[in-house]
Amino acid sequence: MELRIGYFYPDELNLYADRGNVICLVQRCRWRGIDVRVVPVELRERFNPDDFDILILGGGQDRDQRIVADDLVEVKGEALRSAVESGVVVLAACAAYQLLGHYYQPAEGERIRGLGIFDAYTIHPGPSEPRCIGNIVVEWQGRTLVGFENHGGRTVLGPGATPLGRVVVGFGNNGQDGTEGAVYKAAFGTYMHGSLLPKNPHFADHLIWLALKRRYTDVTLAPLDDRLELAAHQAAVQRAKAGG
Amino acid sequence: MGVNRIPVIGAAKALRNAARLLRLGGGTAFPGLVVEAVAPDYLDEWTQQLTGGVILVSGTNGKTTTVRMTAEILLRAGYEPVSNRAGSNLLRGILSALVERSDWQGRLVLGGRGVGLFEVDEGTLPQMLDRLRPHVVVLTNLFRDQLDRYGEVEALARAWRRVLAETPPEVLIVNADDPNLAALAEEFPKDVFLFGLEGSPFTRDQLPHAADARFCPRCNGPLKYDLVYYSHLGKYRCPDCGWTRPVPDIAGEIVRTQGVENLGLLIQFGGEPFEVDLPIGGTYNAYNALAATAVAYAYRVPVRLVRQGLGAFQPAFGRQQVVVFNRRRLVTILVKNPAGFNEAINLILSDGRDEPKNLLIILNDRVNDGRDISWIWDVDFDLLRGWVGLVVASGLRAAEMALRLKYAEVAGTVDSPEPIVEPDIRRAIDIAVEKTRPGSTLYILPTYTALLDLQRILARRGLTRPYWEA
Repeated sequence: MELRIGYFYPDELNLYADRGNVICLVQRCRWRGIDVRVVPVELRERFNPDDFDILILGGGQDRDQRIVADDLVEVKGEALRSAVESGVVVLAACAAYQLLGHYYQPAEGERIRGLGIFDAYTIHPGPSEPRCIGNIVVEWQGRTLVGFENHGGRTVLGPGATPLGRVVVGFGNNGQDGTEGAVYKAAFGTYMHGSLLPKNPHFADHLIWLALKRRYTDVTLAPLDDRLELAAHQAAVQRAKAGG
Repeated sequence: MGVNRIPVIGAAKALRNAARLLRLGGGTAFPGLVVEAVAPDYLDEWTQQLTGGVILVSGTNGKTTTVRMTAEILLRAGYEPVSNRAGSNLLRGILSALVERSDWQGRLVLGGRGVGLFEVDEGTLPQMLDRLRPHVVVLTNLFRDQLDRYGEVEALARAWRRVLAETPPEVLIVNADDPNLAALAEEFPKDVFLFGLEGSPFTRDQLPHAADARFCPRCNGPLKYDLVYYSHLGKYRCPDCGWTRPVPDIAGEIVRTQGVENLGLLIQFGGEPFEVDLPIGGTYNAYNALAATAVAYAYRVPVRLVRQGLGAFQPAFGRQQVVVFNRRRLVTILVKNPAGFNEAINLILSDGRDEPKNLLIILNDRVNDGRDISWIWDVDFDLLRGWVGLVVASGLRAAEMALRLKYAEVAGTVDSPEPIVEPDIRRAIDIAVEKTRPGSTLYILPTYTALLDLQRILARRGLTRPYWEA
């Protein structure tokens, strides 16, 4: 079996160590004997949706987000939509999550058009409202996901969107309605940035499993020794609950 | 002024003494907090007594070491620098330093011409510029660091630019090899001195992962690097608009290096170049020495004294100071962000010692460490693969630290040692020291609050002086 990962904008959308997610997927495949390849998908570069099983998109600085937004819509938009429709796994964190909604309205300046893959929109309420910063715990399929969020924009889901999970500790999409992230087919959007997957190995494996299942019949993932992963998970949950 | 000076300064001094007796973390910021709250105007009176002016050093990495090097130089030129303690770089830390050096009536007691030589938190530099009206401002570098506290690098650069235009110091000293800072200096209305490297055995030809200056600050075009010294510091140019890295006024070349023991630097400013040997390693310390030299240049200190000062410099605890404990060499290097951690790794790998590296990494996630520890995934730990004999992970996020090393295959995989996860720092030190062979080196890499914990623990064991004396 093999898995092909497209790592989008590694130079621009890397603010919060999103590389950790890529490293995690690669190693969890390698340790199981699954061939894995990571291909960077850069600015101004077109891509073929049939070439990938998983696409990873992360967060960036404001300026980078604008540069990337145009590219995402104009250059890669069509291919990305078709990838999502055909069940390619997408993990979009932070800025990339916002750009997969209908639009992002910054505190100043023009509205940034998104791809509309998620029925969601994001509004930055301006500098008078504090940013949503801190450890976050989310309930997902009866288990917990734990990460860190740092975003000014508030995302509101429309009727066509399903949240990724419910907030247990933290802000999530908007700090109001208790939702965090969005799911459409195998596309996942989330405010839990950076190194989400390493300390949530069950979620990492879910993504790998979804991606393999699309190409191979009879996919079972061999179990790995996840004691360290789960210890890191527990430590993060404890810090979140302690308000740390 | 509504408050009488004597009681307030006296009370602040008494509080400092009480805090020390009670071992409340040295009380470094405590007296300053009192003055800040009760009589913030004293600051102006103090700065008037500093006839040599005020120097502020800010930036992501290198503040503490730059201040220490500068102090050694200025001392020799007849000045008496008043400095805040490492890391106490908010207003209260500066006020505490002034309380410390004052008599009970709030008069500074100085042996030479007083100079305020303060390190300043990069987030509060704008506020400090306004309050302290410095003569000289030194900007060392700007890397991503504690994004939950400081925000993005470019937003910080914008804030600096605005306030430097509004309340410019007489002299701005800037690292020419950092594009964001070089651009900032271009618009500066008064004197600018640039420092930069013109040669080093440690160069790469492309930016590392997660560098923070990929775009031209002038035209937004992608920058090209002909040479990278570390992180995004190097010789850059913009093919789109033609902007290039400016020629530094104070140029350095690294001519010798051996781990944390020695850094031979050839420095040129104005006349003849001169060589100096520093008892520390790392490209970043070459930059710190150049920044200190630039201050000396601004103060017209003769080359001879610059050389003497840099030669006499000793590193602070946590900044590569080497201490011997139970016949093991402990080398502690503070790690705060990917740029600094990557440099620490390079330093460890180039120590010239023919033995597996023993590591104790202490990762805390308190406010002063940055609550977000995602950044460890941006550090290039892969470089350590195959070089490590011992890994002890400690601190509040010990498990994730060990996990990071597992995914880098440095520890916890088939061909690497099993990491020891011990969140309790006291126990982790014992384990790490015991498992390090006598005569060998243990590298301790703590985040900021972990460094303070570590220092307290080691001080209690009679090892180093407490940090308020460091």
